[in-house]
Amino acid sequence: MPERWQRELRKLKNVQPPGDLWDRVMLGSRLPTLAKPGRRWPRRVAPLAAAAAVVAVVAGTAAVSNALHGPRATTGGSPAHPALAYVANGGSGTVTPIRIATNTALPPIRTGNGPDAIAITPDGKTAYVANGNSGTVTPVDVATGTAGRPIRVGVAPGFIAITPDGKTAYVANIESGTVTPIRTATNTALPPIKAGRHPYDIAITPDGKTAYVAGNGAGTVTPIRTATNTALPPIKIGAVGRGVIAITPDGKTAYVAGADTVTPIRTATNTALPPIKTGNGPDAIAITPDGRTAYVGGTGSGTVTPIDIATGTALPPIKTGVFPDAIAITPDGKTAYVAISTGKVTPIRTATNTALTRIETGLSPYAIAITPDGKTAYVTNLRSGTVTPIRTATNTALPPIKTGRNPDAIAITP
Amino acid sequence: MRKQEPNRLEPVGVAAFEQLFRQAAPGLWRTIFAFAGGRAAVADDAVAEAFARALERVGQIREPVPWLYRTAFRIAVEELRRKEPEVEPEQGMAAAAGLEALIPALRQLSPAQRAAVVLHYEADLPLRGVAEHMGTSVAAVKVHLFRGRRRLRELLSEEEAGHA
Repeated sequence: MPERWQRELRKLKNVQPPGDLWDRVMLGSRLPTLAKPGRRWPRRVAPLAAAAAVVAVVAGTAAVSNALHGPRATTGGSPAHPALAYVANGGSGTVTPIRIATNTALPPIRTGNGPDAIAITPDGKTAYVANGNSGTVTPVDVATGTAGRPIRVGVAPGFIAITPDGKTAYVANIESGTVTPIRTATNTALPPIKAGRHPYDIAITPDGKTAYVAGNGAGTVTPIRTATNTALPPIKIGAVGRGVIAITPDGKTAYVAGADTVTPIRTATNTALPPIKTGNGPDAIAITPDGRTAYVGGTGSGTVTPIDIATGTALPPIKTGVFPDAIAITPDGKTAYVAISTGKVTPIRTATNTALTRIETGLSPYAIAITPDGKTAYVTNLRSGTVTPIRTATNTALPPIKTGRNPDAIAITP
Repeated sequence: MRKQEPNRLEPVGVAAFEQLFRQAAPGLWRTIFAFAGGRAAVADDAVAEAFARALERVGQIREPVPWLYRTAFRIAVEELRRKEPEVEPEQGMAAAAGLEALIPALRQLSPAQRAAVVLHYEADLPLRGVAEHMGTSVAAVKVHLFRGRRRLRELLSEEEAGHA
């Protein structure tokens, strides 16, 4: 039997266009702005440009990674491991490395079809790329830029998280309802672990002992004991589970976004606390490195809601612009960068929770990652096929860097 | 200028255009109606304008149906951008069609998610077709579908969803 949402969608057949539609076609355009040639579209408007931004798989990674590891002490890069940003090009089947020192793109590396997620090991040696259409994960040697043999996982791998010790990469197979652990030493897949109906996002505790898998369809979060790769009993959360989750730097609480709420989970007991109301459709979450505030993007409401973690209360929402779908916070915790669908990024000053002047990026900014030294935020522009570096000191955009088609995920070497 | 153009068309061109309208307009209108979060006026404008532009280019568009969709989406985006605060969805129409649950749920999706979900699950287009109609890539459509479906499931879940 079809699910309720499918039955509801079919009811669309009940609506019909008005009877005079043909006459209106024959009368031609009656839209004032459309009748003026040359003024029809603003410079940046392309088909669905305003519409295409959605939550970024790896914006989540960056945010979670910041939450997990806190501000990283290194400035990123060494002679052995140059500082690079790896960009997955969903439409090209490649990843593009970007040299951070010069903001230049290196030649693309072929991975598999529809790379949708990317994560780099804490030692910076290997990037794991989930090929959503191929059902594989490709390990890429960061130093040489060579792709290894693809590792078969489940259907539609859409998210990767790596344990702090770098030994295991967990891959969420959205359509299989499983998580595949990959042993990084040998690049072999271990048996898949059942984890809800559509596992989407994974957050690992800072001690590396538990991976929390959020997803959709079951109203639960599945904890996985990493030592044994076994699923613990699923945790029921108030709202039907969403796909974004983040863990506080002290590892005590996981925050899972719900329909219009965020549910805290106490990790010591794996119990859900009462949900906290936020904006509609939260689809991005990031926690400041000091663990004081969680920022939750309310996609349906065009706001970001800060949550005071100590008291578990929502602070007044911050207006960011339509569809705040990806959030990343600088390592010093001073600024949260929010990608909004109208080709802009809204910085939020965390000290005062105020939105600063929006920064123009490209069409459909989609994923954000910030360098370990906090100097540059990289924003992938899904429909432009570019990445815009933002200088965080001045909140100014640098010239865009050309990538492949549909850059939909980004990760930066530690 | 445009009003005279139908007269210049070959009769067969007009007949083919009429047939195209009869076949494609209802589905296109429903898609844009959903895409615009139940704003019928936006769907009316975007679909009429898209067909009017197609009429200007009769014989020049190789794949008219995907072209009409892409054009109508573009116009609807612009219309929504101009009118969003003042154009409210027509509640009565949605209620009369039994869409009082669907329309508010669709409005919680991003427009691209709405378009992808409606084209794939309501119009039964394959992924490649959805991408062609939206003027985007299959990879992007996949992401829109995952997220759109996930959100719809959550918003329109069964009472017993938690036990599944």
